Amino acid sequence: MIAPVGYALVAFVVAAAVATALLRDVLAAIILFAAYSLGMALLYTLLLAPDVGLTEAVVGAGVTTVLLLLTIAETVRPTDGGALERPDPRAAVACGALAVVFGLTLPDLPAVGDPDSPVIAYERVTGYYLSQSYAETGVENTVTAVLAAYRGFDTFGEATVVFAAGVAAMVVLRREVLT
Amino acid sequence: MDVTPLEVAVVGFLLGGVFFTFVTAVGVIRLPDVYARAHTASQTDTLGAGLTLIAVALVLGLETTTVKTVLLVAFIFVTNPTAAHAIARAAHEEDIEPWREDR
Amino acid sequence: MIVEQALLAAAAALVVLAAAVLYRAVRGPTMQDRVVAVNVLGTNTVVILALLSAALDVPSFLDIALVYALLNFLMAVAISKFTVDRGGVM
Repeated sequence: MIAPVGYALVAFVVAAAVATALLRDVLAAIILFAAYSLGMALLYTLLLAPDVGLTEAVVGAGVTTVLLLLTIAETVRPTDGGALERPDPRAAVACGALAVVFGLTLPDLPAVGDPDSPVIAYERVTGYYLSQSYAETGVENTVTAVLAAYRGFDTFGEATVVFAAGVAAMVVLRREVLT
Repeated sequence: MDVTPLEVAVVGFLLGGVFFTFVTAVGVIRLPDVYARAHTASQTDTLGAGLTLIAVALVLGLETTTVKTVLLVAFIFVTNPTAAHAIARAAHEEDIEPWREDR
Repeated sequence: MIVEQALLAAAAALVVLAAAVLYRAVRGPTMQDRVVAVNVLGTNTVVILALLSAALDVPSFLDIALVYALLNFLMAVAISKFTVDRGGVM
């Protein structure tokens, strides 16, 4: 019963992505990209990755929209030539070929929750974390235990980079507003 | 197959919610101008979301997570009409003429 | 059991309706039309998340729904404000 929801979502996401690529007006493309991001977040959540869904919600729909709006504030929007872009046939063929090549790898991926997938079948790594992570770190979620405890310094470094980027963006924007 | 009153209520609320969301979709696609579309987005969509979330709250029962559903209903009832108002006002300040039957 | 089926069926119906509303977001013609459409899409997304949360019995989905409800409002107001006075997002 969950499959129809998934198929409808995939159709929605593909439609939104194609519309984002084809619209001539940048502001319209930004709005459509927000719709695409809504669909993607739902899809991630449906595949039981709510943390990724939450990140997609905040970054895709919130931060990206506002940053892109700030970016196009100083540019000119096209007013002629219709609502849709005329795609370059060579670029369209190249994109289509790339999509086909990527699509060919899909059948080799293990199914969702497949117990024979290499990650789970390779008992020495996965089994160790699954059985030991709670005793060693006291964190209930294994993914969180790996992210925040076993590789805590890496995550700390990543958080520092993201924080620095945010501060830098705010400094630049403040300077733009003042001058 | 026996059906409890709770299940009947849940399915009823779900049907109502989907119906009003359907009305919203029809309105957003078929109505003639941005003001009419903004009004259907604020009214029927709020009602549709409210009814569906009531169904979700009934399924969850009396738990702490149900508080989140109630919060969601409250948020949507406050933010949806406000957003529609902001959009309609932006349209007005961009001098978009309302649609009239005689033109 | 029947309740889960009904919840998932409602979620599927809402996704289909969201795909229909996408037509208005692509078509326009004015920017406000697109914002109205995306606002409806956002509300639909929140409701679908709540439905999935109840149907799959994962309470944490409701937190994402809450975040989305707030972000959706922020997005609509930001774009509305942007179209009125260009660049005045912040």
